[in-house]
This record gives sequence, structure tokens and C-alpha cells, in this order.
Amino acid sequence: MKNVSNERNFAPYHTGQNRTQMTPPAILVVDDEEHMLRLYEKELSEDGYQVKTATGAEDALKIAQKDQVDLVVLDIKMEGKNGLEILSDFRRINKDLPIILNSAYSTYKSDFQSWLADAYLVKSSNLEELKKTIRELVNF
Amino acid sequence: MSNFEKKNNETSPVCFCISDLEEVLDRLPMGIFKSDEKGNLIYMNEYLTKLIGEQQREKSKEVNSLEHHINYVVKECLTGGKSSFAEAKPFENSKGEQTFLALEAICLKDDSGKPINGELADVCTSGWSRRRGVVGVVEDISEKARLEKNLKKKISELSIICEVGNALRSTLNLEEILEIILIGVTAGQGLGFNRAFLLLLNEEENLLEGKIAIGPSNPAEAKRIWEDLSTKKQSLEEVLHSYKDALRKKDILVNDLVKKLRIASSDQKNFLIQSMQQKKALSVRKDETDSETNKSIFEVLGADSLAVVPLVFKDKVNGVLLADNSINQKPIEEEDVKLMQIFAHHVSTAIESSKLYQKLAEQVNKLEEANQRIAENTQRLLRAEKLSVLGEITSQVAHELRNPMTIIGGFARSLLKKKDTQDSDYEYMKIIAQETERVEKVLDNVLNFTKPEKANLEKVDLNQIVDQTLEMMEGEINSDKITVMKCSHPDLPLVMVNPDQIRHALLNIFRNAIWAMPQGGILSITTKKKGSFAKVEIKDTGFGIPKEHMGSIFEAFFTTKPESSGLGLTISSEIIKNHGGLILAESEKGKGSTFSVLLPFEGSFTDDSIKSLNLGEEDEKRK
Repeated sequence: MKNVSNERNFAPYHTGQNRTQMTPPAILVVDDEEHMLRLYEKELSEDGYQVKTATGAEDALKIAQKDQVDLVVLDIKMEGKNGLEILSDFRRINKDLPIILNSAYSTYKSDFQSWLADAYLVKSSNLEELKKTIRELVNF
Repeated sequence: MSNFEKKNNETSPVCFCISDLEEVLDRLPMGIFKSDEKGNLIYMNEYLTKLIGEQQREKSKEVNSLEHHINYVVKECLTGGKSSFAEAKPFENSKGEQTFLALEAICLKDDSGKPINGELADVCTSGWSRRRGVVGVVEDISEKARLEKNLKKKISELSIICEVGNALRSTLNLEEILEIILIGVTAGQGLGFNRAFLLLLNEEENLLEGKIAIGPSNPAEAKRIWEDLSTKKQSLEEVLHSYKDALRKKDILVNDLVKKLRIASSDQKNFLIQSMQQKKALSVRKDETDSETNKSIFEVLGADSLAVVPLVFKDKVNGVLLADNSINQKPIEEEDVKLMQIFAHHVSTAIESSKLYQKLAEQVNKLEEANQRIAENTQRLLRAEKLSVLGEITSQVAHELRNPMTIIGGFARSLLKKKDTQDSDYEYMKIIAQETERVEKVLDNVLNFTKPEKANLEKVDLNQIVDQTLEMMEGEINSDKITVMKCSHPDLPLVMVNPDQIRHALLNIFRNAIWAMPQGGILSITTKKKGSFAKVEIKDTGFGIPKEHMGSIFEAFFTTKPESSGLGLTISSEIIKNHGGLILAESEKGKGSTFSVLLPFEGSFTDDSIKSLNLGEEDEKRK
């Protein structure tokens, strides 16, 4: 069983608005599990990305408005607002921002709200699929 | 008032013209006699003399003659002083008719009631006028007797019909009804024919077919049976039972005969068909028939004369009832045929009721089947509900586990990248990463099971899947104890499956088999073709599954293994079913178990293909 959904054609890559050629892409990871954030932060920064983390909707939106964000990795099932709602909020602010939904559940794929995302990946300890998708979306 | 009476009323001794009186007496349509006080017959009128003459003509002097009877009543009268009655033995008159006679004699008495013994003067010299002794009449009661006999016969016929009717109502079994009918026709207390045959119309083939017959095969047997029955004095109902037993073994011959009769309903010349079409009873003699089929009927049955009665219900003719007297050669009388016709009416009604009952029974059966299906569906629904609840719980647990697994495995992989492969920790780190991956795969499978996905179907060779599954189990099979025997069908058609899922399903079954053989044994895996299905048979020589557990082994959370979740076989079964396949199990305690997985060949799956498997037998074994 593969964790990647290839059922939809995702939107082509859109770069973040303010990213210069020199600065590495900034990735915002949103997940309510501290350890998950630590893992993603470690792995992605080792690959050369700027990594920002948020544990909930409020933090995430604040960061997105204040800092440069080139891509968002968004968990779905979280305390408070869930990932799909946050996804809608992000889309209202910036419809071009690449967003990857990253959940332990595959069931949300059938929820039409998830179709706003650029990719939907089921969580796995093997992060290669996720990294590959990020690379493609931010062209890094 | 006649001259004679007038004179008589005056109670004076009268002497009138005797010759006139004698003429009157002679012309009376009854016999008159007179005896003297000693009982000697002194007068008989002409009528009586004629009667005595006729009787003597028939039988030469014998004890029971009419004269003897007259002497008897006279003597009775004289000794008892009262009237005396008698009936003479019937005899055949000159016209060949049975004649029944009744005698009545009275003692002559005076006004005070005392017998007159000769004190009164003899008025005339002629012997008859002496007013002493006995006078009597002899009356021909043949007509009365005939009527009485007829009445008795009718009553007995009615009671036969009534008794047979009751017997017929007591059963709805067609076989029994037919037997009762035939016994009714042949029993002495019934219609008294020698043999009876029943032919019923087969509407599908347009044939009148011989069904059943009853009757002895020869006179000796008939005599034995009837003597046997008549000594017991039974009612018809009792006869129905005892005759059935008496004939049970003997009636094979007539039964065989009647079954040879098959007559096309289009054969207009056939007297059986004619009887049916005209709804008319017939009495047919062999020498009267001309057509070949008619002759053959007589020849097959060995009869010279047959009574035929159609079985009519409302406007429909169901068949015919045949009877004969071939054993005792008694001629078939019109009366017998008429009675048989009344009888046949009962028979048609009974046959029709039995048919209706059969239809009713079929409907009841259908209803019962429908009920059974409803019950099964309810069971299935309950099971589905159970599985659905189970699915939700499992799904939640699996999802909850996925996050920590991602974190543990993720960090392990992350650390692995930086470790020198020579580092002693590298190996351990790798194990963490691998084991995490394994858990993640199990979670995938569990989630697949709880929410089956049809995606990722591939055309594969089931033999390969079996090989791959065995490879996956390499570390788990202790080759010192367990011998794996594999027998692959060389050109098994491909199956369209999700290979991961099927591997997972087989893995669970293989593991169970190994677990059942802690002391070692043989695991044989055979692939076969069965109808339009590919079959994998997994057979172990382990301790087997107790009978009482057989029904539950595919149920969720059912396990006898202390460390097991009880989901293994449930998942396997669900996976196979989702692929349009089947999973079956049979087991014998102490000898081992066999699991069969059947998957439809690529492009062949239909409901019919499942039926073509003829699963009845295997289901039986499974139970």
C-alpha cells in the first residue's frame, strides 16, 4: 500500500511571494504533536530548508502573516481547529501557497475540503515521499 | 252390504252357497288353509295348492317345504292357543323369480275367547266350514322382500361410501389415498371387485399412466386373503389396514402390470380415453373391442371384462379407475359400475385435496425458506454491524499508533543516515527502522481491512503469491520441525487481486498452521483449479480445531492463542471476500486442519461461478 495519493492532478508549483533565489525555502510544519514537529524540523532543516513549526491554527496563521512561508505541511486531526479548516483559512489569505496535507488518516482524501491542498500524504516513518513532493512543489 | 255379510252379522249359523264362497277363496291372491282341531289340514284354496305344487316342482319333497311350514304353524297355534307366524324358505317360481312366503295361522275361538272344540254344530257338511281348529293365510311377500333387500344393499353401499370417505379424509398423502381407493374397490365389504387399477392423467406428457393397482394374483391367493380377513369381522376401516398388510407383498404383480399401461390422451378409439372424454362410466368386454390399444389393455391386465369409471373433479378429468372380476369370473353388473361411479367422485375430491395440500405444503416450504433467508440475512447484518463497530475501533487504534510509529521510525531513519555503517549501534538503529516499517505495514493492512480499497488490483499468478508469502515467513518456520510441501498447479490462470492483501491473507493462514504444530509436522500448500476459481489449499498436521469452535474461527476477536488479537483469520476472510473469493475450513481434532482459499480467475467472477463450485459438500464439512 502506497501512502501517496496520485488520484488527482495537483496544481503546478507556485513559489512563495517574497523568496529570493538565495534564501532557502521556508517550510511551515503544523502538527499538534511536539515530537512530530521535532522530527520534521530535524529532517527538513538537514535538507537545507528553513523550518518553522506551529502546534495550532492560531500560531500557524500568525507565522504565515508575519514571516515568509513557501510551503505548509499540515496535519489534519488536531486539537482545536483541524487541518482542513486551517487549509481554508490559508487559502483565503493566499490561494497560491503550496500546502501538503499530511495525516495519519487516509479517509480525509474523500473530503472535498482536502482537494484545496496541493498534495495529500499519509504519514510514514519513511519521509522520502514527503520530501520528494516538497522538492517538486518549491522547486528546490 | 253384501248378502254374505248381512247374514253373518246376524250371527246365526248360516248355510249359503258354498260353491260361491270357495270360488271367492280360490281367487284370492293369497293362500288360505284350514285344519281340524287335531291339526290335520282339511282345506287349502287353489292359490295355495298351486304354490305347493310349484315348490315341489323345484325341489322334491324335503323337510323345509311349504307344507311342512304350514303344519308347523298349525301345530304351534293349537298348542299355544295363539297366532303363529313363519316365513317359508324362498324358492324360484315358474318365471324364475325368487318367491318369499309369509305364513300366519290363528286358532278359531268363540266370543268369550275360548277355543272352539266342536260343541257347535256343523252347519255344512263341507270340511272347511267346521268352526274348530286353525285357519291361516300364506302371503307372497316377494316384492316386499326384494324392496327390503334393495334397501339393505343401498344402506350398506352408503355406509361403504361413508367409511371410505372418512378414510380418505384421514390422510392427505397421495399414495395412501390411492391405496384406500383401491382397497375400497376390491374389499368384500367395499365394492367387492377382484382387482382394481388406477390410471392418472399426466398433463405434461398428455399420457394416461398406470399408477397403482391392488388385488390377488390368483384365486388361491384371493381365497386365502379373504378367508383370513373374514374370520376377523372387521369394519371397512380395519379392513383397509389389514388388507393393505395382507397384500403388501403380493400386489407387486398387479402393480407391475398396471405400470405397463401408458395411453396417449389423443387416442380417440381407446375406451379409457373415451370414458374420460365423455365423463361416462363404461363396462367393456374384451370381445367387444377392436382397436389394438384396447386389446392390449385387456391382455396386459389379463382381464376379460373391465369396469371403467372416470375420475372427474368439477370439469376436470384426473384419470380413470378400472376394476375387474378376473379371479372369480363374476360378471360385472350395472349396479356395481354405478356404485363405483359414486365412489370415483369421492376419489376425485380426495386426489384434488391432496394436490391442493401439496401446493399448500410447497407454499409453506417457500415461506419457511424465506424465513430462513431472513434469519440468515439478519445474522449477516448483525455480523456486519459487529464488524463495522470493530472496524471503527480498529481504525481509531491504528491511526493513534501511526503517529508514534512515524516519529519512532522517522528518528531512527534520521539517525541511521549519520551513523557509520560500522558503528555497533547502526545495526540496532536499522532494526528499529525496519520493525517500525513492519508495524506500519500491519497498520496499513488493518486500515485496508476496516476500509477496503479495491485499488491496486494486478493480474498475478497465485503460485507466485504463495512463494512470496512463504519467503516472508522464512524466519518463522523452524525447518527442523516443520516440513513444507508445495505442489503448484503448472498453468493456473491469473487472478486479479491486490497482491499485498492476498499475501497478508495467506500469511495469517500460514502462521496459524505453523502455530498449530508446536511439535512439528507437515505444512502442505497446494494450488489447484476449481471451476473458474484458483484454489490454494493449506493443510497442516497440527492439533486441529475443536468442532465447537469451527463456526467462530472467522469471527472477529475469536482466538484460542493467548497472544493473538483474534483478527488474523477475520482479516484474511474479509480480504478474500472483498476479492469475490471464498475461504473455507475443515478440521479434525488431533489430525489437522485444511483451509481453502478460492479466488476467481481474472474476468470470470459472477454469482454463477460461485454456484458452479458446488459448495454444498464443502460447507457440510465445514460444519
